Formats: sequence, C-alpha cells, structure tokens
Amino acid sequence: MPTTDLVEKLAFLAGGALLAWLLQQIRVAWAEDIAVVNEHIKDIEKLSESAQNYWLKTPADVNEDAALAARVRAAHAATTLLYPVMAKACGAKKVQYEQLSIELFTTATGGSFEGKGRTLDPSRAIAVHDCAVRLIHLLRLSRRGLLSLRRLTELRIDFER
Amino acid sequence: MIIDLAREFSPYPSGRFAGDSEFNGTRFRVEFLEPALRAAKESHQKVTVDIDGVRSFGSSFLEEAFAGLIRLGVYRRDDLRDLLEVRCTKPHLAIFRDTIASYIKNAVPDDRAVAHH
Repeated sequence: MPTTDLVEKLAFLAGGALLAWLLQQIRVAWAEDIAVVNEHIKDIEKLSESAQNYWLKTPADVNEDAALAARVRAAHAATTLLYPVMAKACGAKKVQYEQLSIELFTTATGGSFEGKGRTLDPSRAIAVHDCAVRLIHLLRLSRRGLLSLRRLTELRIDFER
Repeated sequence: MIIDLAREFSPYPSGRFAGDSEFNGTRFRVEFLEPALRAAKESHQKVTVDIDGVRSFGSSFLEEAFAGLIRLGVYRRDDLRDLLEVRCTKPHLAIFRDTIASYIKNAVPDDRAVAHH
C-alpha cells in the first residue's frame, strides 16, 4: 500500500506534467499564429516589391507589360488569402487593417494599371512603398498583441478558418 | 437578378478602358451593370454581382466599373446602394467586395469623367 505522502507526491507530479503540457500547447499555438502573421508580412513585402518594379519601368512592349502586371496580380493574390483572418487578428485595429489593405491594393493596381501605353509612375511606386510600410507596421503591432493574454478574451482567433 | 461576373463576363477582368483589354471595366459597366440596374429599378428588384469565380481583379477595373456609375453621374450613391449588392462566399475574395463598397462610398461625381484613382 502506498503511503499518503507518496500519493500526494504522485498527484503533484501528474498535475505538474499536465500544466507543463498545457503551457507547451499554448506556446505552440501562439508560435503558429505569429508565424502566420510573419508570412502575411512577407507576402505584403513581395507585393510592394513587384508593384514598385511595375511602376518604375516603362515596358518595352505589351508582353513585358503583361508579365510585370501578372507578377503584381500574383503577389496580391497571395495577400488576399489571409485577409479575413488578419482583419480578425488585428482586433481593435480591424478597420484600420482593412482600409490599409484596400489602399495598398488601390495604389498598386490603380490608375493606368494594365492600361494601354502606360508609362512609369515614380510617385505611385513611392505611394505603394509607403502604404505597405504602414500596413506592415500595423501587423507588427498586432503581432505583439497576439502574445498577450488579452487575446484569449478579446480576439478569439480561429486560424483554422 | 444575378450577374455571375466570371461566367458571364470573364474570370480575368482587367483594365479600365476598351483599349486596355477585352474585358475592361468600362465594358462591364456599360454592357452588364447599367442595363441590369435599369431593369432592376423598373421591377423594384436588386442586382447581385457574384464575384466568386473571378481569379483576381485590378483596382482600375473595379473603380471604373462600380465607382464609375457615380463618378459619371449615372446613379446617386444612395440609389446605387439600394439597387446593387456584391456577393462572394470565398474568403480570399472578401477584400474585393470590401474594395467595391469603399469605392462606392468614396466616389465623387466628376464632370471631367476621367478617373485617376
């Protein structure tokens, strides 16, 4: 028969192991969420880069213009996959995230984008960079919020959606 | 009244004007949206533009097709909101639905009838 003291020690050990397992699960979940935000930031950087390449070049012919535009479209498509999830992840800054995302899309693919005879537009390239930087900054701030315990009660993010 | 943009027009709409591409924003507005909105107004219905099958948009297409209705004085903002809705069920297209709503919200009637959004 085990003594009461031994039972208490075993119970304490089991409780400690359970707590450690739970904390590890939370840590893994947070790390995965942060990784998703980081990937989204990378996608935005790629969009910004491809849009700047587009607007800082006068294409030699229609084929080159189509190729440059396709790169911008493809880069933007990558950012749209996480748009609803990131809007939710930004919590109180959801509207700001949505507005900046639309502004980036509008700046990168607006004006004479895919237009016949379009020429280079340095001011638009600068505007794309500026908008991307502001959006990335917002996401970095939100990423910090993801690590806090507030998210458990305020955000209830479901990254599986 | 539903317009399936991908099926009835193109899954790859692009450009603002006729010279930009075959499936441009001006063409979609003139040949699809305006007739559908006129018919919807007469029959007291709504026009639903379904964007689910579209692969991607350029904002020049969206601005010209949707905001163009207000910018060119074809519809007033409130009337357009009553007559038009955009439907999408795919999460990755949600940004385009929000963009259309934003363009309609911010469009300003312009006598010059030229947009450089």
